[in-house]
Amino acid sequence: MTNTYNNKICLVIFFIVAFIAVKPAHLSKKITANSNSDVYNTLFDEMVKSCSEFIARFNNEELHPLALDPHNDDDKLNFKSLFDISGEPTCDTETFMKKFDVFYDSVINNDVKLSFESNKWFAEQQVQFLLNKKPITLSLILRPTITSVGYEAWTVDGVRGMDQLMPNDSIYRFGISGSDSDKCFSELYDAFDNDYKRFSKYRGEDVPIDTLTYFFAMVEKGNIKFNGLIDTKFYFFDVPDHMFVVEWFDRPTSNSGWLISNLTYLPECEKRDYINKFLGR
Amino acid sequence: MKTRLVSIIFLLVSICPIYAEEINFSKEEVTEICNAAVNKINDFISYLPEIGAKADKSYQEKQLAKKYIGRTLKLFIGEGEEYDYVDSYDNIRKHPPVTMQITTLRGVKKKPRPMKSYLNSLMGLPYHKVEFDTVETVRIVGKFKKVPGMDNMYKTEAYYVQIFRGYDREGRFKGDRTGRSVDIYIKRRFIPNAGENGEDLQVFDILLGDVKALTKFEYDKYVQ
Repeated sequence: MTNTYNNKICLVIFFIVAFIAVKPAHLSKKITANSNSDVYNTLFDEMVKSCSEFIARFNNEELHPLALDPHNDDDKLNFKSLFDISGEPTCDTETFMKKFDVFYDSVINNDVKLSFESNKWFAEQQVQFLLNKKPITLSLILRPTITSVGYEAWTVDGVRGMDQLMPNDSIYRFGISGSDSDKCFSELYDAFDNDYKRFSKYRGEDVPIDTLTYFFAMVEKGNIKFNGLIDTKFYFFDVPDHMFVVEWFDRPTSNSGWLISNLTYLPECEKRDYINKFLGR
Repeated sequence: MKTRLVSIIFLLVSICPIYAEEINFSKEEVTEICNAAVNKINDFISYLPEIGAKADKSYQEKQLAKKYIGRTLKLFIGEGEEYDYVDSYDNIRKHPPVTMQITTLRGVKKKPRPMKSYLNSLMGLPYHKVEFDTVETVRIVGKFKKVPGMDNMYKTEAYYVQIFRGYDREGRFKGDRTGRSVDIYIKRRFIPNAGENGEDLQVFDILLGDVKALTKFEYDKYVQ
């Protein structure tokens, strides 16, 4: 009982500290019907409105030619405003501040600048498809790249959620009789006639099915139909020993727009494996 | 010898990878682009009441509204139709018509719809009078990227707050304030000898692109 009470008190203190730490209170509170339009304009300036603006604010190189408010002089406070601090806290204030300080020091000491061409970030776009008229959600993993002709482009480099569509990748297999080679593999007649729905079971035990190729084939053959875009997330691996996730927070406070929702300690030596897994490879 | 050298330089330049081209406009140029964007957005906003006002339009009013739809579409790239563009791999492709994204009463964003279809739907709004406040400022927060395949054409996004009010016959109104983004296409051109001292004068022509709804700050129910 006492623990629950203490937890609640801690939660309240976290919110208060977080709000005060990031922006003046008049900007952080919800805008009411009587507010004047200047407040909306200021609020809109504070909001991280696009991924480009997130990158610019992270790099401390924002372009605000007609902004009503000049840059905040305190770079660290400005940087902290890139975090989602109005949402559900994932840890207590002290833990958050420690993590934040280590992260911020790593950014400053290593002079980390985010950029389109860094090749160290990805986007995850949730997409809804219809399969036999039933909705299913898949996540496309997109990677920023500079094309061979020199322009920026996002390419589809991975897909997640295909487990619901792909053949069961258990070790359960079918085989064509060893002696069937003498009959020019005539057992394939039966395999194609009667087992075509699970034909992938005829592959070798160590041969995986490439999920991305399978996905492209399903789209191009019209087996799954596009039905709309859902959420977008960005995953950044640029900061040494860290990865963080940026998501959209739509709420009428200054702490809104594209914000860091998750900051994780990830040693450099583990990043490659993490990214391969992330890409579904 | 000179010709050969020029040829070699040309060859070298043409096989070198061209990096994603950005342009760093000066602060004055950015301000000029912002002002041109404000004017273009305000043109767009000023035409909307002419299209949206009066639910029960007469034949003449409908014709006038259609005229304004035509004018509005001219502010956008492709003028509301499909248009040719060069993609990031230098392929010439058809781009879908520009779109408009609106929000629902609960602030949920809907799938963007073609601008032409959106403007036509405005003619059926259930209001006697429609007002949009003009925009005083736009924010440009990203970089200016070169548009593939087009000389002196750059693209960025501009952000603004749109304030809308719709009145019923009794004069009551409801409205909303929406944070929006709009793609901005900037064509830089020079008018020869048109500057104050006879130098070439640089001008920026703006075309609008897809309009998106980012957030709805507030929604007012009918008030007197």
